[in-house]
Amino acid sequence: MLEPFSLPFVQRGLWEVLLLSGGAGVLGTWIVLRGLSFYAHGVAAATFPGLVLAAGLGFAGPLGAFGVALLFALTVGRLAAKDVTGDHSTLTAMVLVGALATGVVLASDAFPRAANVTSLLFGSLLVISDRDLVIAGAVSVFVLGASVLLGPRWLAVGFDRAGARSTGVRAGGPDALLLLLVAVVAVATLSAVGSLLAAAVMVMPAAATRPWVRRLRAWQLSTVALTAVQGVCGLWLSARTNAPPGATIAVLAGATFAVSVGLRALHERGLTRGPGVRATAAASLALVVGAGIVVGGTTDDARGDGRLRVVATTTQLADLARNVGGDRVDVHQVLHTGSDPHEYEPRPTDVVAAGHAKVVLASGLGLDDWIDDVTAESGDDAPIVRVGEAVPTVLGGDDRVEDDHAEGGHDHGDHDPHWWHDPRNVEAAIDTIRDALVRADPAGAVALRRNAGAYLAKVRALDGGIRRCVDAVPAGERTLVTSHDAFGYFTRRYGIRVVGAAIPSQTTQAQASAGDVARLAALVRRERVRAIFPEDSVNPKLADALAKETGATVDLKLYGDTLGGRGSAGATYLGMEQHNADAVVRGFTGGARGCRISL
Amino acid sequence: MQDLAVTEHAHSHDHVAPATDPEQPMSTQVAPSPALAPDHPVAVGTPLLTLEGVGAGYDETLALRDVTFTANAGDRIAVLGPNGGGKTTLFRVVLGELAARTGRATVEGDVAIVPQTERSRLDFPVSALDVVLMGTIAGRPWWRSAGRRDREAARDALAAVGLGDRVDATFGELSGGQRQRVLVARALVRRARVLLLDEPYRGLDATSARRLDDLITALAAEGRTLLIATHDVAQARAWDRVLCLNGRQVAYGPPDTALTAETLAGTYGGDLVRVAESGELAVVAEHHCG
Repeated sequence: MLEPFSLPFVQRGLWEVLLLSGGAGVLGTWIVLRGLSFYAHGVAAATFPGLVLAAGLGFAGPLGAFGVALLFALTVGRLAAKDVTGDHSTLTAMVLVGALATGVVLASDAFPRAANVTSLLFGSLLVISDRDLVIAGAVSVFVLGASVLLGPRWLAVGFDRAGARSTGVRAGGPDALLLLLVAVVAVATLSAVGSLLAAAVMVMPAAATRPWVRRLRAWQLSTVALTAVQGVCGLWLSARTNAPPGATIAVLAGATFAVSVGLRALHERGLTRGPGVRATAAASLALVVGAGIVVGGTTDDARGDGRLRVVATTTQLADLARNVGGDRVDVHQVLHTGSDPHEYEPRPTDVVAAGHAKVVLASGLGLDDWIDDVTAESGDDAPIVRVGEAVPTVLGGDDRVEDDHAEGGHDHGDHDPHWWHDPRNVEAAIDTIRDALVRADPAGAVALRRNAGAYLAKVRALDGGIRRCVDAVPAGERTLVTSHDAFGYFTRRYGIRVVGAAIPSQTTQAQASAGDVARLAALVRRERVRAIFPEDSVNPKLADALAKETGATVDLKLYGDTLGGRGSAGATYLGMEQHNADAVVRGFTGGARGCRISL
Repeated sequence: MQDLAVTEHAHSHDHVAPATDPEQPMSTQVAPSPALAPDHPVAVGTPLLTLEGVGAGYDETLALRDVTFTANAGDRIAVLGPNGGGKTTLFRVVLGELAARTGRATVEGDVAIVPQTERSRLDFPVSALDVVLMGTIAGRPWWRSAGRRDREAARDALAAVGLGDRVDATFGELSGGQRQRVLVARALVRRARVLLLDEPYRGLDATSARRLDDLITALAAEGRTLLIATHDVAQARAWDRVLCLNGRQVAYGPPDTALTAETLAGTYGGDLVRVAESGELAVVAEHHCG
């Protein structure tokens, strides 16, 4: 039952939770007492532009987040000081909107390729670094110290502002420090639960314990305890059920709060006296734990069948690995079909799989850099093979061909990471994967080479088939409009003109500006484009709007970032590209002709 | 004598006196601890608060002007006036929170306000003792937490207001009168000479009001000056002096001379009638505009 805690990465998450709970729990009581809950959520969410800046300019994420949180605290504090009521909610909302807008503008225009922002927004307890632990410990010590020294002032000012002022208690300095501390703790919780769920750690436990205590000291102690217990239980549950730990803790915190408020309501009606209620409480607790064990029991972490263990980050990479490896390999695919690779929080099984893997296949070119954290956390020394870095054609972020892409090796920010849409790149990828598998499993070399050869032939046939289909369309009619820039490799390979994309950037996190959409609509009309292709894992609303504006059809779909689900046309790499070719040709010809390729 | 506008809380740090001081006078009615008496006791009748032509306000217009009076140790002074008449402005000037635009306000010793209990947070997880301890914060450097001496002083203050047995009660669960007395204790623990009470009788039942009367009288007898803001003319009649305010000082003096038909009309405008049987004057309309 306790075996999840024997995994080293879960232990680190445990330390993070325990270290954080002291500071977050004590501060949580002050947040609730002083009516700063919305401010606490706001300052955590407002770290977004700081994370974008850090990713774009290449410095540490927490530093960027802290910079913005500090600015946020100072701005709200300064405005609140002029407000006699000391009410922060309206000010928080205004400053938060400003910060988020700045973040979106930065992500869309200034640093469109700052890819992993969303993973920072959600954080993960499973990839905690030493730096995170040090930050959590230092922040907790700081909060506890400040609470002892300044707590009486925070209490007096919150109790009655005018009375405190008249007894000579100055509100300004201590209150500013309180706002600052909330910002600091919000940044410290980023790596654990992310900015959008920080309130789960900072606010909810204090709110849940509040109805049951009558003194501040008791409240603070019980809140610290509850924060720690929730963190530990959430982590355990997440490890058993393979759910993302941050969200699990948040759900647990929300449930605890609901139960607390519900029980309090019963208690106040005099219904909680007697053994019946205690039995009910015990039974519900047992039910929750039991459900956790049952659900947890269904995940199998026993993989002892002698096959070569391979971790592949993306869906298409996993498909290539299965085709090359055949029955000699057991592939753990990290991303799921239809999910956006830019929005990924590691799950316990991913880290466990990475720990057991002999080969880790990554797509590279900035798409899945988070795999570094996962493998580092798993304690595995299997080499990470970045397949995308050995392909012959690499496009720049704005469709430039990069000839010297191998240089430097780690600066992927300027590359278009969707290399697999050019089958010749996949041919090279098959070689790379085959060599990596053979190195790890020399005994299987013959079978692996045979599999790779057979698959290579199919990919070559695919390439030839698509070329024949596209060549049948007059060059002037090969105009593609799609909502995602994922098809640069495809269009370049087959001589297709891309008129524009409704989201003019490499990442789905950027927003198109009104000017972009209007420009595109004008272009679509001028070029008489017949079809617009919303990409599968991107919100198609923008493409829909464009279609409505111009009368072009939008019901043709392309597979871009990930393969389709099981049973869909795009469930395999070959199927995905065949489907895309067919859809593109239909779009060019107004549905008159498609593309059938027999492999 | 010191200028308030300049030396706001100059006396806040002088209060680390021994827990007991044999020279402090004892009260006969309620029995406050000597530790709570003002620092250097002054004889009843010594001037503690002097305002000379004071005018003050929050923008170009003055919310209060032409205030000139002297309050002595032992005086219980009713501050009578309609809402918006300048009672709060006067208190803020005396507290040193608001600078006098014209004239001069000088005060001897420390001033403390006893706000209305509705203005405090009844949901806070604090005991009566915790609330009284809030009054000791400004008397210590910021890195020191409340010590044994502060706790003793706070317990004494609660005993002085007759709540020695409710030290550990949760503030929000006390009655309105008890909460009012806890806030008086918070002012007492600062050893203030001048106490400003903001409508302390609002919402109190007859028993609680009588207890408060006794407390105010006992505190004054120890050589303090108490200013009691009120809407109630009958209530004002009970104290030593009355200050009538309506944007300016309308009258100041003993109730008999200060509470005449003319001064009340000047204080309350038209909202005044003569009660038929008793011949007393009463205010009929209260403006609840803040």
